[in-house]
Amino acid sequence: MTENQKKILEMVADKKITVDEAYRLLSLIQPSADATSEVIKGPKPSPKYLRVIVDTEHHIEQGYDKGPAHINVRVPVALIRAGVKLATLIPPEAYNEVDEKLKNRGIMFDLRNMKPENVEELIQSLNDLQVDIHGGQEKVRVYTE
Amino acid sequence: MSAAYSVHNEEHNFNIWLPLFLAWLILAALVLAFLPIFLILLIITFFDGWGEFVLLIGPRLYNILCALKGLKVDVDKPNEKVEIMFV
Repeated sequence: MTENQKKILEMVADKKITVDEAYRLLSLIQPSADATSEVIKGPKPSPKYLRVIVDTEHHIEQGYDKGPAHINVRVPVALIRAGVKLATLIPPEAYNEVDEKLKNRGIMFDLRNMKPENVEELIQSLNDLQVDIHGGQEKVRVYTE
Repeated sequence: MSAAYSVHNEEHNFNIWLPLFLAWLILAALVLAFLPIFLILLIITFFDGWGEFVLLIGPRLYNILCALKGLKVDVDKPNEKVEIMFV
């Protein structure tokens, strides 16, 4: 057992982090702890789910503070693949209109560049995705698993 | 595959579990009913670039429906809990 693993288990014992968080931390430090076994294992498998977790101390509904809220969304990566395949059906004539609407909403994204063969690369790169935002009374986490 | 939807709040205490093969039966009946209209639409749109879209939209939507497996949305508020799950 490495020093980092001991620290994580101590944090669980002190109730500073949850068991789920400890599991994620342990899985993250595993490659650096044993780099040679990683070489034998080969590349990481594709992520199966995209997770979005939002914790807020106060959420507002119809102008009133309704207290804390917890939102947990698990999106299968297969849904991203299916969505991209659907988007590729859009005829070239419609691309300009879609691009213009996206630009009007501040999204600079060219649909012509989105091809099914690039999706696997995108999904593989999601393996390293981890977004943690702590803003005042809100906490947002985005990661893959 | 099945879909589960539950809402628990002060006014409602609602749970539904729907095996999706029932939805597929309904969809199959709808497809058969609209098949003539679909074929006419396909012929009309075939030469203006939308033909492929019309031809493949059904299978792609079915693909999306199948890809929903594993989707889970969980909203937990002090006075309300909503859960949507595809398993």
